[in-house]
Amino acid sequence: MIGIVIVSHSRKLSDGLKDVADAMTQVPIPIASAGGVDDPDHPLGTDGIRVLDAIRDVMSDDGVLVFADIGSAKLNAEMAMDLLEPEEQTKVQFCDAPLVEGVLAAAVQIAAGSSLEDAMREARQAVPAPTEAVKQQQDTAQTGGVSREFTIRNPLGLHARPAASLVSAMNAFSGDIRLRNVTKGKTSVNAKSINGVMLSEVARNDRILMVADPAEAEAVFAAIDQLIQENFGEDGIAPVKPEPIRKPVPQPRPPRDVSAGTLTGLSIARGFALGPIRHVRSALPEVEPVSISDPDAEIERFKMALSAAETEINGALSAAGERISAYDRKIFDAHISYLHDPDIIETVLGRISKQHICAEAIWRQVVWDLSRTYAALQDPLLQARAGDVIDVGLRVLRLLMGQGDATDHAAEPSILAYEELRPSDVLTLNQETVLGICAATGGTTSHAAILASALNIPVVFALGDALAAVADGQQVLLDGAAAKITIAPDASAIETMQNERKIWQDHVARAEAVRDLPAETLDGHKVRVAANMASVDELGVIMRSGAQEVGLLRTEFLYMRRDTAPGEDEQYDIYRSIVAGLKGKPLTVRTADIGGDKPVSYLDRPAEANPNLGWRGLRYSLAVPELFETQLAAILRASAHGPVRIMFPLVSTVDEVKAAKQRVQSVMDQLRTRALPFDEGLEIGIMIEVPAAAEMADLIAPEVDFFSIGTNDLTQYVMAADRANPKLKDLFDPFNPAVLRMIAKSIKAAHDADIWIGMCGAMAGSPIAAPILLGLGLDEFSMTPADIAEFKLTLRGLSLSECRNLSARVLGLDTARSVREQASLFLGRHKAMAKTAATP
Amino acid sequence: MADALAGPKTVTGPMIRAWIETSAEVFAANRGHLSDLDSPIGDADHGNNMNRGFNAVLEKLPEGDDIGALLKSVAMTLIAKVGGAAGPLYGTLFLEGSKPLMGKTELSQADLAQFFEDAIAGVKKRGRSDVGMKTMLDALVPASEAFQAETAQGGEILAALRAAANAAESGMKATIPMQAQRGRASYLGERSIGHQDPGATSSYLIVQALSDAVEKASE
Repeated sequence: MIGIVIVSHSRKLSDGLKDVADAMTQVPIPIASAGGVDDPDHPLGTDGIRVLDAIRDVMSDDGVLVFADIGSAKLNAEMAMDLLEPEEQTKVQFCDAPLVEGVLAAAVQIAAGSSLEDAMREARQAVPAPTEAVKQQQDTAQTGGVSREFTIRNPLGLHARPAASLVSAMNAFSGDIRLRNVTKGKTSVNAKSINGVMLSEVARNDRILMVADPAEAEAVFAAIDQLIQENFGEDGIAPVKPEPIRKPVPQPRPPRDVSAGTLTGLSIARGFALGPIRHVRSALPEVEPVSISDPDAEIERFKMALSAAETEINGALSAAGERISAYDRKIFDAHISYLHDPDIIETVLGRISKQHICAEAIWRQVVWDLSRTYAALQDPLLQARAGDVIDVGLRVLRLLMGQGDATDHAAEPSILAYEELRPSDVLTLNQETVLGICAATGGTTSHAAILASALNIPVVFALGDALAAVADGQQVLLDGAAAKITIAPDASAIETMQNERKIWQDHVARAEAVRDLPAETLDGHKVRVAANMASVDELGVIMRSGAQEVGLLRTEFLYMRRDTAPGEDEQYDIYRSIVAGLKGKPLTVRTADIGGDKPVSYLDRPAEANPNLGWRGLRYSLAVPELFETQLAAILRASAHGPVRIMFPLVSTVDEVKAAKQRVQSVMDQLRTRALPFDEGLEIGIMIEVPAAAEMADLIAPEVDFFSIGTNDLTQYVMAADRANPKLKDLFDPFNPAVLRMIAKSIKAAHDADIWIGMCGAMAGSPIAAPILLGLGLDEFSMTPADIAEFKLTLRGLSLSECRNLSARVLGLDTARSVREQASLFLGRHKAMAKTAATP
Repeated sequence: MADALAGPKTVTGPMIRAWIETSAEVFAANRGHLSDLDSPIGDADHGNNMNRGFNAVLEKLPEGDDIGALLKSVAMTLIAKVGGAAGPLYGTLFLEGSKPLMGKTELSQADLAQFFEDAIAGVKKRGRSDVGMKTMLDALVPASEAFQAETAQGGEILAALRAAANAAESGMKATIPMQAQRGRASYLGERSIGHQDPGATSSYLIVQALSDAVEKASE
């Protein structure tokens, strides 16, 4: 076990701290106290040899963390570490954390089985921040300015586009304006600097303190108020969500070869392409620092490159025309604001004047450092901004070096290969000649991914370094859905691909054609197709997906990544805006399923050995009534604006359902007292995901208006197979007859009680499952929006009576594999019969 | 000048032992003075700490003339007994200086120059500091440079040590107008200006003790 050594000037302090740490951990961990010196008259001080002995006392292969109180204690701790044998030294780390907080945090981590690095990180994060009052005083004292605090309300916070709006507004003022993220305890930054603002990581509901020159403070604050009221221009234009990692198109395919000639990555956009690879080099090149004699001329040259870059971006934007949505255009607005960022520009100008080195070398270094800073942030959205910084950096560098357009694509149609795709690469693509795009790195949330996924060509990211080794001009096969390229495909692979492409293109066309048609079988049976939703950003995608309703709004996102629980009004605003956006389509809101695997910092929850079987879902909600009732009140109030349902997660017993309904009743009473309107007839339902609830469904059904089956949890509980354990993936399969029987039982219980039943797990969107679930009588299928058109296409080729025969048959089978085989055969027979036009 | 001195050609084990004993006497005599220097800019314990340290050094000093072993013993005792920052700093000084001297019973002038260099490099690293920051190094570095300069000009050991002690004294006095950048005194910022650095003072005393001990042994 990892050991701790406490080095303090006072023996009493180190002994006492050891006692507290011992008392805080249930498992004994090796802690050695090494405080004071052996001099009864002057006992305060540190003894390096005592520290050395202490380290050896608690030494094991797991390592030792050494903590010290002040200056000379640290020196003596380091002295002692130097006195260790080299093989001992590798196991010992000095932890530069506040002594008491650091030792206690590390002790708790070690007792919980953390690694040395994790314990050290936790200890360091135990640093008490300066109080808000002190910081505020510093802010205003530094600038002689006036301060005011604002709360940022727009969903994205001050990320790229809203940050650009703020910076652009602030640049209209002449005086200094500082911004500090109070919620995250960040340091104060220049509010006219796009990077300063973005690196402040201002998320929704974060509070920011603005400090402005007294002469213009009122105007500055008014401008910020207005931006906040306008939601920083985010209203009405929905971001294009990056495509989720797609499952392979469920068409019959020949078995794939996985020879050495293939690379696999992340799917950004589906489709097939065959053609030569053309590498587009876009990493920041190394630039040799060259001395210059005339810094003023160099500065002038640099400024001209900046303004030329801006002209270029604007030109490319207008050339792109309709291809770029208004929302995505703002990505490039952010790029332009980098070119005006005073922090960056001042740094570059200052270094040119001082160091007499060419602008290219300095610019490259500044851009590189900045991109690394972004890449090191925790928020994946901000991490992805590193690509934007490099993109702008490259453009300016190219102009400084007097080189032409780097993306000088040959006229021959080809598949472009990038180290990392940048947003402006997408902007300058010639769609006539680009067959597909692949990249060695990149994630699904980058701006480039968002833009590329709208191109209607296959795009695959994260193929790895091996991509660079593929020769220019090499013929490759790019399969977007499988996220794969095949190098030097043989004739049969090409023929297979061409057939698949044909089938896929026909299929896409047919799926598109039925997207907005009813979900109706050949024999006229209608079901409801719904979308799953997990954040406000998905509204636009859902409205275009063909969904008739939202079958599951996960609300955990409201509680994550913030310091306090969301209040009733805040939640109400969000639910209401979704209801308004759905324009009359029903919204099923699932109350928060906060549990072990979704930690929420401000909720004091115990660590659980087995969170999936732990204190989560409705169990937790019932135990923490304030949190639960706040959410219920917000959902109920939103129901005054359109059809809303409430759904409870992880229900096990009838009693839980009754208790939850009582809560709803009591919140309704409160709302009546407060004279706030809500839908008196709003439907209340539960998730069926615990086997106990499925087994008791006949007794629960009379209590509720609907059921919705959550297949992921139901499968893992019925099969006793952790879904995250890859060794159990054969067991964790909802097609297991045991799971199907539970589903069948729940559907029957619902219909016997005259209520409807849906499914919002991954299985609902699976075409292979469709005939089985349809045959079992499922009323509502809620899935990822991207699967809806495909699902409707499948459904419209089926007939209910035949599906009933199929489902009766598969319930008698004994393996998941045989169920899948039967369903695939069944689908193969019916595929050709899909209706592609509206019912006559 | 140098010719007038019938100085030793090497520094022997007994001379090093005498240096250590002289240092202990000097710190006993200057205990109050050092702590007084430490009171306006530190915690008024430097004199006590050095005195306690060197008393313990005398108690634990091993028999024999192995100079490396003698100096290492000084180092380990100071690390354990001094208590404040001077413990690891002087501990490092003697420890790093002793490393190439293990097993040697007498030191050439070059060995002594090497001792100064290694000792200073260790202190710089341990304290993350350098000349001009109002620390021990402001006495030690000029001392080492003077020792080498005198040696380069043909001066013998005793002359070089006297030059080193003189340079250490000047360096110590030069800390008076400096603003502290290391240790507790640095918290005082500009208020540390006008006070002689206690660490530079104790370093001067140690260098002076070496010069005195070698001179006395060669009389």
